Amino acid sequence: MSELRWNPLLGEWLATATARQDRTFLPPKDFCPLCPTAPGGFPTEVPEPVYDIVVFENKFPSLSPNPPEPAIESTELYPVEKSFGECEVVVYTPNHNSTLAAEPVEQIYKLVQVWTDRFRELSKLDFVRYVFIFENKGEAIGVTLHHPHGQIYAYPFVPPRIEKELEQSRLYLEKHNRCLLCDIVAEERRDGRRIVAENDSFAAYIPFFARYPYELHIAAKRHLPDLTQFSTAEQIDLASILKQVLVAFDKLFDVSFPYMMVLHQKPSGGDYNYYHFHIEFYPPMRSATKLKFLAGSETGAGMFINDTLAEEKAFELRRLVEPVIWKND
Amino acid sequence: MKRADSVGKTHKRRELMADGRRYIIYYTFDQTEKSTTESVKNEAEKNV
Repeated sequence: MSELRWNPLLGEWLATATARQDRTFLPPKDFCPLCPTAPGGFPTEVPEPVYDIVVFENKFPSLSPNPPEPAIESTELYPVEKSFGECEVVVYTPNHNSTLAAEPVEQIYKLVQVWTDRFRELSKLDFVRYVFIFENKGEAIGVTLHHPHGQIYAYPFVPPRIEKELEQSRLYLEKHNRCLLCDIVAEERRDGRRIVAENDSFAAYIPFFARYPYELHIAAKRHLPDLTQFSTAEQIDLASILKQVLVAFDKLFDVSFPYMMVLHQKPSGGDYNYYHFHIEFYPPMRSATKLKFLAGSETGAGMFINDTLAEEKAFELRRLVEPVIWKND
Repeated sequence: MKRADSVGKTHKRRELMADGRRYIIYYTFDQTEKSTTESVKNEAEKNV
C-alpha cells in the first residue's frame, strides 16, 4: 500500500509505503542485492558487471510512476492522493566494501555526471516537481544496505524544507536585491572561522546556524541554481571538495563516518533561478562515542539545540583536510 | 581539461530489469571501462 496523506496541522504531505517494511535488511556480503551478479551466484539487482555507476528503480519505492489506488478514501479534512513520483537507487561502485570517501576523486567526478543526468531526466517528467538526491550512510542513520549507494526521490510536490528555503531566498531577494546563499557564502569566507575547505568554485563550511555539531554545507561560489548549469571546471571542483570533506570526516574519529548527504537544487519547472545550489551533510556523531539524537525539542518543536560551537568544529575538520590528487595532475 | 579527460565521455545504457517492470541504467566512461570490467570481475568472483 502506498499513498500520499495530507497533514492539515502542518500543511504538508506524507507518504505511506507499507511494502518497505519487508525490504532487505543488512544482508551478508554474499547476498548483497547491490553487488553485480556473480557467475553462478544468486541474482542481484545488477545482472551485469560492466559499469562504473549504475542506477535502477527502487524495488521498495515510496513513490512510483504507476502508483496503486490509495487504500483509503479522501475526506475534506484529510485529502489523499496517489503517490506519483520516482525512487531510484544510485550504486556508486561495484565494489561492496568501498565508500564514497574511499573512492578515487575521478569516481566522484563520474557520480557528479550521473547526478546531473538523473536531475535533468527526472525533471522532465510531467508528474515531478522536485528531484531530491541524497545518501544515507552508516547504521547510525538506519541504512539497510552497506554497499556504497545513494538515492533519488522525484517528488510530485516541492517538499516542505525546500519550500521554506525557497521562501526565505525569495524574501531576501525582494528586500536586498541579492541572492541569500551568495551572501551566506560571502559572509562565511569573509569571517573564515567556519570554513573547512575551499577551491575556485566551492566553499565547504560549518554554517553559523549549524544544527548538528558536524553539519557541513558545500555551496557554489557562483550563483548556480542546479547541477545542469555547472561548467566542467565546476564539476571537477565539486568532486575535489567532496573528496576532501569525506576524507576529513573519516579521519575525525578514525571511523567510516555516518552521515546524511542531501543536494538542494531548484524545483523542476517554474521560475526558481533565485535559488542557489548547495549540499548539506547532517552527521549524527557529536563525539567519537556519542550520537546526536533528535529529541523532544528538535522533533516536537522543530527547535534544534546544538551542544557545540560551529567555529570549534570547523577548526577540528579544517586541520584534517588534505590536497586532492587527480591521476592526470 | 586534463582532469575531465582522465575520465572521458559518459555512456549510458538503459534496460529493463529481470522483473520486466523496472529500468536499470548502466553508466560507463571512456577511460575506465576496461579497468572497471577487470576489477569488477575479480570482485564478483570473490562474492561467489
